Amino acid sequence: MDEYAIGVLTNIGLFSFVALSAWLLLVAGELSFGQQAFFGVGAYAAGIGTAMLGWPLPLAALAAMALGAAAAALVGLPTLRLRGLYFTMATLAAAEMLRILFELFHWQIALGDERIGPDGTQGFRGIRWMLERGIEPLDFLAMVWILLIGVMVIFLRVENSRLGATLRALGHDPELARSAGIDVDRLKLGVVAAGGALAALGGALFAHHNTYIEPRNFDIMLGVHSLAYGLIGGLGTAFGPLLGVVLDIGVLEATRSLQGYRMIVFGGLVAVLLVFRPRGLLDERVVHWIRSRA
Amino acid sequence: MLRVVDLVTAYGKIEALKGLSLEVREGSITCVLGPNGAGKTTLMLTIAGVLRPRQGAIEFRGEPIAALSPHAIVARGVALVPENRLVFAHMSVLENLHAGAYQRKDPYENDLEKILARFPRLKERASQDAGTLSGGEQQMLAVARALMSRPRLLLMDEPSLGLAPLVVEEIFRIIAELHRDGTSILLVEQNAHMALKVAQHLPHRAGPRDVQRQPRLARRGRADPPRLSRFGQGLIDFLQNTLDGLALGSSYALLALGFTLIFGVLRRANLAYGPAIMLGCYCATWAYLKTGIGLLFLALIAVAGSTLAGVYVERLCFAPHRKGAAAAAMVASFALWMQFEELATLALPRHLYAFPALYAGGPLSLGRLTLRVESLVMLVAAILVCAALWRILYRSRFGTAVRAVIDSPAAAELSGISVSAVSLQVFALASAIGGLAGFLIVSGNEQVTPMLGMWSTLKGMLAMMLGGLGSLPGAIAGGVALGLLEAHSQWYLGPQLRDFIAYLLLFVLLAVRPPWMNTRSAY
Repeated sequence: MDEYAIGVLTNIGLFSFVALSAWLLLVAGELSFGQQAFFGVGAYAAGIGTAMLGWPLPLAALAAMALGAAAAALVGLPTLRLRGLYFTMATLAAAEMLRILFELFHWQIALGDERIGPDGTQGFRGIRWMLERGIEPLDFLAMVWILLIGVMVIFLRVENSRLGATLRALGHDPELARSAGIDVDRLKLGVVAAGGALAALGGALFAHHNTYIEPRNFDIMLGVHSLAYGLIGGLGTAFGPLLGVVLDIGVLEATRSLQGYRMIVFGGLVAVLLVFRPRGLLDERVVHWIRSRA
Repeated sequence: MLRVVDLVTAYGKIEALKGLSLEVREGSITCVLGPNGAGKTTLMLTIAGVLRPRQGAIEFRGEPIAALSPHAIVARGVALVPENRLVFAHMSVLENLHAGAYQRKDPYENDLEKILARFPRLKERASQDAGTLSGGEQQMLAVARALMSRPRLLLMDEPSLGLAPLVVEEIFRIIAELHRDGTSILLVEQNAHMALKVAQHLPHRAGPRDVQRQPRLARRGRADPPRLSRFGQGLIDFLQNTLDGLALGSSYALLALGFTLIFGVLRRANLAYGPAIMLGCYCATWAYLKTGIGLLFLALIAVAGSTLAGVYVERLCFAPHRKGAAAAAMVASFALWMQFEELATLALPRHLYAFPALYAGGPLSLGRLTLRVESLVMLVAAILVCAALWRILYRSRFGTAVRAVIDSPAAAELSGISVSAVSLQVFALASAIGGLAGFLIVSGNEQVTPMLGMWSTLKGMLAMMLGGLGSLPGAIAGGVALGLLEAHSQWYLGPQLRDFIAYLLLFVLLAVRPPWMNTRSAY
């Protein structure tokens, strides 16, 4: 495989994590514009872990996930009862606050003859764990996708479990779910924390793929995109957000010749697609149909 | 490094400067304050050698320079950035810069590269005539040209004059950068508020005191305005911030009005609201670049363009999802946002375009306070639009229909009101209001960028949320509150914390939910 293809496939894998985390909340009935912030928390935390504290990546990634979950829960607690646009705006406000905190975050230590660490808007350079360990891009690609497949397996198992049904009930109508005896607040908090951890895992890998992160990477554009991935791909299955990412990054990369026009074409296509399939390509009905055939 | 002792400069019999002394230390920013006509420009021109002092001494690095000619003074390392952004209008940006280095015998290609890197916008326009630049860009060019002579001391004559707040911030950021890189700066300003703003851009922990204040210059023939106490200056700063905040807030209020109208009727947030406004303003910019037509036409084009874009968004993103999920409508409107951005950059690919100024003159003075005429226009426009909207909603047949749909779409449909038609009309009206707001914003800033789209959506949404959802008076209150909050927090805490505080307030309000924020409605 040439380097370019490896890069595209790695990116598809990386952004699938944050797309899955937005999709998880979408299934539970909430639109979050804030998942990019937890992606950022994960990126910074893992970068600090490997580049500054000398931890191995698995440990740093675990710490990043814990921190991502904690940050998401912290944002989630005061906003649990919010619905609709109120929740969406609260997540957006929280995410932008976190991004500004990244901009104000200066903590550098001297390592050898250079200073390493987050430097406000200048970003965080030199997250070189991969290079130092001699890990090839292809190996990294495999690592990203193995992790992603692991996450997908968990998602697909949950989907067919009682927890999955409970989640969909919550997404369908929280009041009804509450009256059916579901502890809505606890469930929502769990979903929010799981989404934060998932996004943070993606961020940790993203930081090590890029070796350089800056607050700008985690702005609202990423948040809205990750939300859009799930909705384009479909709400019926966890493959939905993956399909969304593949469509966006994959197809856009494949049509570089259209440079300058492609968003004009794709933006319109997405709007038209949503007219006919408001719950995405792989919506519940399609998934049901496929299952009944299989 | 520079010492001015007892300087008297006169035009004929009139003494413009009578006995001024000041000192500029190596590596400092020194600011001289004084009202119009106090001799600020005279001082600058005298130091630069254009005017001859009648009396007194000017020493630069220990050498008397009062008798030297301007080019000899430039050669010693003093460069003036003249008042009113004096550039060679019919020469290209690059030629202006070469002219700035006219004195230098050494190869200066390296410096040229560095300066272009510092002013990326000038780099983009290197071959363009300087006269076609926006006001802010001309000011940058004037600074860059002065820097080409590699000055040790930079004299700046009211660099903020007549520039939009956004552009002033950028110029001041550059001044702070130059100071950090070791250039000494002597700045004259009319307004203490502006001078203190420079200090905000200095590196960490620099307070306003890092900007040395020199005795004020007095206006000829008038009593010296009394020096203000610290409390007095604090009060003036507070009032000036409040005034700036009201101006900013009225633009937010206009944006929020349009956003709220749409939200009220559809219970859906239209992410493409700002991008539609941006597209309208790009249409106007394009027309301006092609034909150079006047402001009134540009306003019409901006409003018409925004309206058309808004109607397109409604038909494609909102009409099909009126009964369905809100998420699909929101994501569809985001898809069109991407489409609009690319359309705009396809037509006008540069990151930034100059837009003709709404008003060419300087700001109004209200005692010690200043108010930009553009801000006044914005304020008046916001009030007029509110009044007109109130009349439409409460005194017309259409308004009855709109309010009926807002109240209950189902009941409205049963009463024979076409919800689809009302929704389309409201979208058109809201986008037209947005287009007007956009036009006033870009002509006030004298520039337009694709960022206008995201900015308008975010600010409109934020103001709408702060004022409670879906209420028109709330939108205005929310817009004004947001503007005041931003102006004050920017002054006291800096631009990054300004945004942080606005989001924090929104988050806290959403979590606490005071009574005026009705959480009844979902989308």
